[in-house]
Amino acid sequence: MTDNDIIRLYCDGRQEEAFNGIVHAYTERLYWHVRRFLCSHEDTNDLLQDIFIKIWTALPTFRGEAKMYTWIYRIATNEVLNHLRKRRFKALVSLESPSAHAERLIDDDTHFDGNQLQRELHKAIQRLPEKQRIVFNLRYFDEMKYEDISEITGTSVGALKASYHHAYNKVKDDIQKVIET
Amino acid sequence: MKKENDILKDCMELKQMPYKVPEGYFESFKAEAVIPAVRKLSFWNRMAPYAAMAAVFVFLVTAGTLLLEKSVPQYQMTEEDYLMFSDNMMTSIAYEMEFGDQLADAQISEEDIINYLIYTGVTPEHIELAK
Repeated sequence: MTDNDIIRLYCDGRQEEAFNGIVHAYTERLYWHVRRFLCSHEDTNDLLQDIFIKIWTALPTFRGEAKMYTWIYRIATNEVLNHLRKRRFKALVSLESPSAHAERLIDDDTHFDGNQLQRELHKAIQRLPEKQRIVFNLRYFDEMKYEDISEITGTSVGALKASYHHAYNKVKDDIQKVIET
Repeated sequence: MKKENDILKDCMELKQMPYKVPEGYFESFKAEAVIPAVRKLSFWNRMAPYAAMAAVFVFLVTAGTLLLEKSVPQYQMTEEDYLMFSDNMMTSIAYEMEFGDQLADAQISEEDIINYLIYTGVTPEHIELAK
């Protein structure tokens, strides 16, 4: 089912069918988008349900000015940022930095099936500032256009390009250091 | 010219997702699982504005009452006020208020009653008329 089919269903008053279409079309994409930030499957699963609830409640406000997929990614990304904010508060109490916490989640994750290089890549991503992490994930893994990332994040294309450049070099240097040692 | 190594470009496996999900996770993730929560939420979403209005109303009434109690000084009646108040009451009530305890205990004779009536300005004609 395409985004246009989903919108048509919704406009015809078949909201539940439209929502089914969204869940069917976006579950896997959103799952991986969220998982790259949260690392843990359990946290990702919980947040994914919250994201779909947010999408359902926000659906009447979708005017079709933006592409449906950027609109959905925007909701998902905002939810991820809220979750990360909560993690930062928890980190203040536990005295463990959020990036150290995320790195530990990667090390302890029984569902992590990558090699050492992939492990280091994802740890390096966790060390990036949030905005750089968003643009890096969307650009490097999803190969999204800057214009679409701009719609999702509400940041200008120029600023995104600069952020990606910084993030890319940081991640590359981090992995290079690991290879050299 | 020596070409600089770029591990992120050269190593394509880095773009692959290293995380895995429990078996059958995506197949079992259905909208039906989310919709009950959504319905519950939708009901609350509809009720939320009314609940908010009710809460604001209760807050305003409570805050207004407290504010009035604080800002308007409590009026203490003076002796003069009591006298003025007693002027507005029937004389018998004022008398009873003043001498009530004594009245209850005292043996009131006919003469006392007559004296009281004369004192309050009641004439025998009034009594005749009342009969």
